[in-house]
Amino acid sequence: MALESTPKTERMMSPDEAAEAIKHLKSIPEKMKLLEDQMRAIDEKGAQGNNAAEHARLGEVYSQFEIMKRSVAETVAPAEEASEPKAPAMYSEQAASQSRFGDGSAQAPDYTLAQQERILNKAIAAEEKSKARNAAEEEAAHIPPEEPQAISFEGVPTITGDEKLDDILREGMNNPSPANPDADIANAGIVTPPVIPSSVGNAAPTQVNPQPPVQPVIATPVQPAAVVAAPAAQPAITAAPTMANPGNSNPLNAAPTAVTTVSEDPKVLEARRIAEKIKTHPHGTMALDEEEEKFRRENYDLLSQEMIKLNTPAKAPEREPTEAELHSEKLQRTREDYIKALFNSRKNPGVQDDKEYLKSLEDKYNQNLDEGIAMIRKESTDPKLLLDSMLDERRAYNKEMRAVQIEDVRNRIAKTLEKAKNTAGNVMLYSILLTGKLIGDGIDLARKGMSKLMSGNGLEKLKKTFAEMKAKSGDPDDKTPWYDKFVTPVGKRPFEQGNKEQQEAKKKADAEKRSAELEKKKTDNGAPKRSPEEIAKGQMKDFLATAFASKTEGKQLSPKEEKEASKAWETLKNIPLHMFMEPEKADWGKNKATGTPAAHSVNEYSTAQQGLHGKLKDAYEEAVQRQKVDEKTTLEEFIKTSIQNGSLK
Amino acid sequence: MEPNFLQDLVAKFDIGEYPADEQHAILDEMSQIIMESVLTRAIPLLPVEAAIEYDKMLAADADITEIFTFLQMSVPGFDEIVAEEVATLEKMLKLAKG
Repeated sequence: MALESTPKTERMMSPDEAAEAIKHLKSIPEKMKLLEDQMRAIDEKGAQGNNAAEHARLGEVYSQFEIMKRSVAETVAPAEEASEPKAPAMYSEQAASQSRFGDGSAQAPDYTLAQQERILNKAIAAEEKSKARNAAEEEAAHIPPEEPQAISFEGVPTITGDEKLDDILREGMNNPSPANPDADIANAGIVTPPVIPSSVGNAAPTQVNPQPPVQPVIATPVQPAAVVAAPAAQPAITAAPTMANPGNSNPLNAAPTAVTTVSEDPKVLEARRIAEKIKTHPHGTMALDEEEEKFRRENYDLLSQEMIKLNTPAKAPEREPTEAELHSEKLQRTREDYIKALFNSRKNPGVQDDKEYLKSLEDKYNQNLDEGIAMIRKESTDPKLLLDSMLDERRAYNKEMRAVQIEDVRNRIAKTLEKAKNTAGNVMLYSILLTGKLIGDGIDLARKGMSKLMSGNGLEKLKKTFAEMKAKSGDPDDKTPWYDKFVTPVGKRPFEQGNKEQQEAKKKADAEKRSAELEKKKTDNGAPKRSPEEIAKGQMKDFLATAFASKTEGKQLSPKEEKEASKAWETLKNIPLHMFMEPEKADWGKNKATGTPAAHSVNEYSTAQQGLHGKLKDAYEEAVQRQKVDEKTTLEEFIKTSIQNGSLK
Repeated sequence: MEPNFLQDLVAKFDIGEYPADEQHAILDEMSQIIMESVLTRAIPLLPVEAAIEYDKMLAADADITEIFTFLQMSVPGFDEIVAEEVATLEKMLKLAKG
């Protein structure tokens, strides 16, 4: 569009009028913003009845403003720049804005209204272009090619009606108080709706985003109805899904109920709108315009909250918890309370108040457990369900027990469990059982198991078995874990090893093999090498001698000896002394209560007896003569007394 | 493990009503829980010096059996802990059984 002279019949604009017009044009974005707010307010109310009509009217005005703004900023000036020969210096953007009209003092040439408007437009365009350039520089790295195209406005019908701009300018000139935008709007025939904070969700796309991609339907002036209809049609779309989905994660789409609408702060709503824009726009915060950016900086916390809300996954619709869920919650609480109290009680043993409190919590926990079982039973007759529940409960209990520990301990447990994870549970259980730690008064299971394992001449077998174990573990060249003799390697079930006949046959074959090996080991002079049992005896003797020496003579031990001695000592110190000294008289081969093999192997006792230091034996004999020992006197007690009375030095 | 021993375990925990496969699975699971319970209770009771040694063992990638043996040696009342944990689980299962 060239800067051609228009017919002289048109009225000329005075500098004052032009200045007013500029002011008016510059106030357009503000007016649009107000319109947006008003339309949002209507949207909040549901855009029905009178509201819908009002909304439509506002939409129409808005669309006019929109067209005007776009035309001014994007169509007229760029088109002129692109198509026209370069204007004389006096018509340069700067000259036009400063010399001609900026201060109002320059001579106003006799331009037609159309010409003046173009000059005005150029001035505004220059300003906007400058802003756009700055923004573009910042966003250059982020904006895909599509975005600038949106600004270029190519393909959008050019505003051909100069009269359109005339109208605008006239409107500006007819409103002598552009500084008061509210008045302008009122003067434009728009009834200001009650100021009710509004949501943004229902706004037409261009209202939500002041810098939207090109939307021809809005930019086309010949189809204002479409623009107007859009916002009015929106509420039905936005309200329905959110009503059906109360957990909608997008608060912008939340149903605009009267309660939330009226009570919500416009600032919150604006924050929500901007948050939504940041979230949905590919350029995030870079997509914000100046005002939005300002708002963001000034209301950072509020915006952050809205962002968090947007990013929070949708909650499931709230419902009444079931009886089982309530009970589970209750059980969890009592479990936690009980375990915390238990933990404290173990830290401070002996405090009576703590004990009573602990007992009350334990009772509560057990009561809840009973109730839980009753509930499950009511729900299902499947016994496996109940069993699984109990195992789960025990797991939860263990977990809680770990949680109350200090960090170091927690880490230690976690690392150990991690290691144990790769060990099949049965191997671990069997190792617990077979190390003998469970044999004795604790668990008759182990006793029975061991007893039956050694069925027949169990005692003799047990003796031999332990001897083999000791020999095995004592051989520095043999890396086979000792329990491999008894426990099937990980991944194989021991009871999958064949039927009883097969196992008997295998045992027999193994025994023959061992005899043959023993025979092979005979030395040249025909004397057999030491059997595993003999080796074990020797080791035990050494252990005990070392242990005894360390206890009675203060001998310095190597770390390995110390370890062995401690182990042996811990095992033996509580055993009645007479069992070592007079094994033939002691009934230690069997547990008196059960008649099954006793906790400790025959072999250990006999070798222990052999291994005791000569001094101890002398002291014992002396003590017996003085009747200072009885059947209950333990090794430890005896040694202490003997050292104290000087019979053992 | 001898079949007799398995039968004992099945009888002890009263799980004879389940098919053989399930019995094995339940026993494995219970073993794991007992082990977990024992470790959870025993490790916090390690005396300070033993705890330092224990950490070294963990760092040295000691075998779980060695670790367990160490705990047995070092934790006072370890036997009782094991016994209690087995008994507790047994009691719970009986409770569930009714």
